[in-house]
Amino acid sequence: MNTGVIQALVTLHVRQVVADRSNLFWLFGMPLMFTVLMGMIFGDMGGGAPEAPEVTVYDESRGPASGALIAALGGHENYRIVVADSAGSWDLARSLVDAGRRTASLHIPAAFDANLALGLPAALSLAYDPDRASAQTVRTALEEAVLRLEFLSAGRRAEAGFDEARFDSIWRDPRITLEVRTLGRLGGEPQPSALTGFTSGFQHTGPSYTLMFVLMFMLMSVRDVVTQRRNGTLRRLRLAAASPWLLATGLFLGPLAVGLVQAAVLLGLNLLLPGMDYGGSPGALVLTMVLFTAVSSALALCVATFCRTPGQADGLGMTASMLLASLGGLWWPLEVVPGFMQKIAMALPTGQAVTIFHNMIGRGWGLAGNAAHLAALAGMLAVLLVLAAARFRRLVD
Amino acid sequence: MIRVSNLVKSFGDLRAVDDLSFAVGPGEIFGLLGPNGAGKTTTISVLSTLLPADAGSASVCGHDVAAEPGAVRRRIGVVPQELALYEELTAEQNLATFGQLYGLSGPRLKSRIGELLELAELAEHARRPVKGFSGGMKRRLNIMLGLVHAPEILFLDEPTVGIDAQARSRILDLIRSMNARGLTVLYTTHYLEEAEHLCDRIGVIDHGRLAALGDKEELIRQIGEHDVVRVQVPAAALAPAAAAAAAWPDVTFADLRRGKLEIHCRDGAALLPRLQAELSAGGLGLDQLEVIRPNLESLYLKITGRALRE
Ligand SMILES: Nc1ncnc2c1ncn2[C@@H]1O[C@H](COP(=O)(O)OP(=O)(O)O)[C@@H](O)[C@H]1O
Ligand SMILES: [Mg+2]
Repeated sequence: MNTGVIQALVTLHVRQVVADRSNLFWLFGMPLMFTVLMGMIFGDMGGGAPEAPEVTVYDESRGPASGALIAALGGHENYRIVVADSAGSWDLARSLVDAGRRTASLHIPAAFDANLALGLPAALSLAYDPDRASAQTVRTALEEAVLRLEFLSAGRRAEAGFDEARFDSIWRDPRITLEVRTLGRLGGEPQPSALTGFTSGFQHTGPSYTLMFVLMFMLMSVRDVVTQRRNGTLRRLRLAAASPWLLATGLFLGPLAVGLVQAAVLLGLNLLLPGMDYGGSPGALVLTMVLFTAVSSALALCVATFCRTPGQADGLGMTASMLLASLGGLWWPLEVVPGFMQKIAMALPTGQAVTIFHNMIGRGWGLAGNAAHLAALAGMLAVLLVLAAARFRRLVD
Repeated sequence: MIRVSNLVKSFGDLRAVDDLSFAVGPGEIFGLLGPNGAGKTTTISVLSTLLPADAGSASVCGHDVAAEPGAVRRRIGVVPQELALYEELTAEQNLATFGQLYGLSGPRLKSRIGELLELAELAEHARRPVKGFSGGMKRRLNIMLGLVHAPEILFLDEPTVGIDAQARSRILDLIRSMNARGLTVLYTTHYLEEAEHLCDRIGVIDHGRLAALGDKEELIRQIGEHDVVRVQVPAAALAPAAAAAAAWPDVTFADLRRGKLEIHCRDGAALLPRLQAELSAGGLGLDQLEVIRPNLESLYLKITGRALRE
């Protein structure tokens, strides 16, 4: 094998890509934009939105005591307080918690402040989901705030001139201290989607859009191959490269090299997104990306042999990448499409690759668990390489 | 250096190259002159091993193009008719790409690139993307890309198409200077003047067939065109002079035309001493003499029946 020729052809392709600055956008900018944007849209699907869960407070009392209570609940990271504008029905509030759409709901009845001032019993209602760590925090904070209010009003009743300052001096210097530490992780929050096993929308969009844009950039560069054929540079390459097979190999490896760099950068940057990881098998990750990128490059070479004009290359390339991406489950998870569409997806390299990623991320499967899918990708690569070789003469003659 | 015998190449029913034979010697600039569609590019493609011939044979530097394509390719440089350049890359990167493909690297590649850029007067544009180049600059770079690996023979396929006269003469100078360094050149063109001024020998090709072959003088003679000698002779002496001249060998026509004696012969210059002797014997001088040599253009029109310029 004449590695000099291959090296020259790979260098040529890299030079061509780098020479056009707008390629940076197609290689990296566009995919990252899509990953983040669509990941946020898919956020709900994962169940655990990156935003803190909501605690709704229905404050019908609207006095200093209820205000102090709400203030005392605030300032925690793992939930946020939303004071409802209009007092909804308590049933509705409870049903929201029951449906998992709120961490907790607190109801402060209209008579709360007045009763407290008069020294009468005052009722509060809290509904919360005991599975959630955030709900536990709400409950603890609320109990502390209630205790404080209780002591303050008791002191006022017992002692003339008992004021807030006097109370604080007692409150801040307790006789008994209790240190509580929560260890381990409470399950249930954020909840993995029953469908995908994902906890974040990015776990779908990160790998999916990486695959999609690797494929798309590859198919976009079919135009360059067709242009090279038309302007005679491809014939020149054929004259200079010792054999047509060396030339074919170079035309396959050039885009493959660029695609691997693109994939590495995108997958690396995706790790910065919340909830992103690729499971525990670097081997499966690397093998999947190498196979998929090689399949894409072989496919691009095949498509090039069918195109005579740059316009045809654009049309065929765009159609192919859109179909492969959508049918293969790169736009939305395959778990949400009907069974026969899932079967179609498994016939496509995109469907195989994204399934491997889902297995790695959602189930923690590595090389062994994904062996069948990796073999399918390798088989597709072999078929495409044979097809590209059979049709290569048409490209260079 | 190049030997082509009875070469045939057809595309379907069309015989693009039809029983073509010619040879090019070392150090020669050989012109293949013919109108568009004559079969020039097809001939070059066969010679450069890009197309297989249907019949006949061709060899370059002693290597048969069909049997030893690799050996042929190493010895030839090909400059295609199109601007086969990477427009988005710089001149230097274009040259480096092909240099690397031919196995050059490191300082050897660098010095070769510098040399070629110098030769093409592109040294100060080395790092500019080619898309910003003028037509002439692109054409010069196009030629240099065929020379990176220092070939023995250069095939130039219409290298001056689409550029102005000044840029064209620069390219012809460039080719001459490379030829002076020992490069053998096969040059195709449909511009008669180029073939006439640049080439040592010319093959006129039309419909894939060789219509004439030789240097300029030989071509004219092959076609059977004649020189025309016109001389002013006093009216009284006209008839006898014409009668005498008509009897000379090599003269095909001698008579009075527009008040002058007109003689058609193969070689007007060779005829002059005899004519002078004849006239001075009769007490006359050579007065208002003109010798009209047929030019290649009229010859070319006669061969191909087509005007050259598009
Ligand atoms: N690949 C091809 N397929 C079919 N016809 C061709 C092909 N290449 C050239 N021809 C035809 O062969 C003839 C000679 O073409 P060419 O060698 O390009 O002429 P020239 O270079 O002298 O202009 C033309 O009639 C052209 O249309
Ligand atoms: Mg031509």
